[in-house]
Amino acid sequence: MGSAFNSIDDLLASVATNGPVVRNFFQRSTAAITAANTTSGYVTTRRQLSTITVPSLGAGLTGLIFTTIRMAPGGSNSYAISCAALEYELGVLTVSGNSFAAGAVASMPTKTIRGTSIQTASLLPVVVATTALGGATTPALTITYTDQDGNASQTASLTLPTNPTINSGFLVTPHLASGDTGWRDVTNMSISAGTSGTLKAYGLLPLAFDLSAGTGANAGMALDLIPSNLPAFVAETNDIIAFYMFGSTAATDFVAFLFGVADN
Amino acid sequence: MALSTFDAILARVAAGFWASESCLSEQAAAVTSTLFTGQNMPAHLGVNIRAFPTPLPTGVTAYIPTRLLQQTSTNYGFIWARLVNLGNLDLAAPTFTDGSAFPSVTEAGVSRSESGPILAEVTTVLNATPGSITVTYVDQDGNTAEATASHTLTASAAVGTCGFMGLVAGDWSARDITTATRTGGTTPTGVITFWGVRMLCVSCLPAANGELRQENLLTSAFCPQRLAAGDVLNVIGVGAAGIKTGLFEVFAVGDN
Repeated sequence: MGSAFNSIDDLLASVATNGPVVRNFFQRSTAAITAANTTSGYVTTRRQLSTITVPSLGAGLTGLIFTTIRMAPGGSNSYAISCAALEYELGVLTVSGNSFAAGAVASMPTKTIRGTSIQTASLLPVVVATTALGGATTPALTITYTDQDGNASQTASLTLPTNPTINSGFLVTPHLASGDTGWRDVTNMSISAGTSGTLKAYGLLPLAFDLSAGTGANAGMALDLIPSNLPAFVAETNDIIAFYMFGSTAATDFVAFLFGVADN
Repeated sequence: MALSTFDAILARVAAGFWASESCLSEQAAAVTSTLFTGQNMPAHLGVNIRAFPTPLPTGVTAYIPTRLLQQTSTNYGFIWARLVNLGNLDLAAPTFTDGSAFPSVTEAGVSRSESGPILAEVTTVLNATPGSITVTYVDQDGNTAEATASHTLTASAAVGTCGFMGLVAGDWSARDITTATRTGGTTPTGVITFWGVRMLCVSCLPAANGELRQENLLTSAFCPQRLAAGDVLNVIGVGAAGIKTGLFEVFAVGDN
């Protein structure tokens, strides 16, 4: 991280000099997702279909710090938790043929933390049905991964619900090998049953959380960066920002507002 | 934005370069909760916040909101936003009248077009069988001729009924609307206006009646944006159907 987040004055100066990056996001999801259970992440998880790609930046600018991210789900999702995160696609399993391929990125990225460039591991590892599964009756999913410390060939085992619908996510953290807290990379996935559908393994670096405030209230009791001291990951050009919701299966509309300040 | 330090902002307030504008927003019982079949988020377009002084006073180049205040009769969410009139659709013929596109802005040193959600608002009451509408738009990345799925309209939706439009899979906002049309219905009547939403912040009131919530846009939800001459803020209520009122106020500092 450069100097933009050293003080409120530095944030103001960057906004004045470079202009903020504002994103106004809306997603309508018309279908319910499949609930998680004790063998598939415990917490019901939805991945919003659309994602934001961090744009190119002006000369001398290295990334964006999102000082404010607010999220509001639809009325059927009271008390759902929303999350915006940098998302890295680490592996793809095509259920037909039980065929694994590497994801869009080679591994989790390096980020500068405490002044040092370090290899990150996902704070939230998740598997998502990016197309609905068919013919998959309580399939056993086995994931081979490199853990947070770089130990390869670790194994996570989940049993998914029957035929997860599109955008259903399953948190992998509870099913990692004993002592593991995240993954740097996913090197293989295989499934015991199923004839169609796609599962993708992602690593998430959360940027913000938001809690819908109650029945019909829909908008956030947000954790903002400055007062809440969230992980201040710098988003770099072509990074993907994805949105997740935890705790509700219902179809939903979803609004998000993001305010990014250029770092140098 | 010329003001680039906290002290500079305080100095401008001390020198009297500030404005406080407010509005009372009411959603009457007659307003329908949703405009589209499948709409999961009821939306209500509030009365405009009273316009900032236009033309701008001498010594002020823009207003920068630094605090938002809200109190309402029930708990719901708010989108504080400037609106772009993207056009309107008279359902009868149907006839689309084009409006403006989102403006270009400098973001992180690069000039690009802004984009945002499309909020559809009934501006002339719909008849009992208004049919469905489809909008063709330019997406957030500049891809043209993106067409929404058909949106089935709510019968006899009253003036003020609103709904965000679902976009093509993978899209999350629009830069412009190029055309819109209506299909089906029986001798449809009514007019729908399409607004582009440029957010200032998203907030909520967790509890109703008596609770005041403020958003500090400098030390909490850091998101200062410049409002140019003639810019008007609006408050979009989201998530709660039915009757509700809200009292809103915005405090802004005059940029130099």
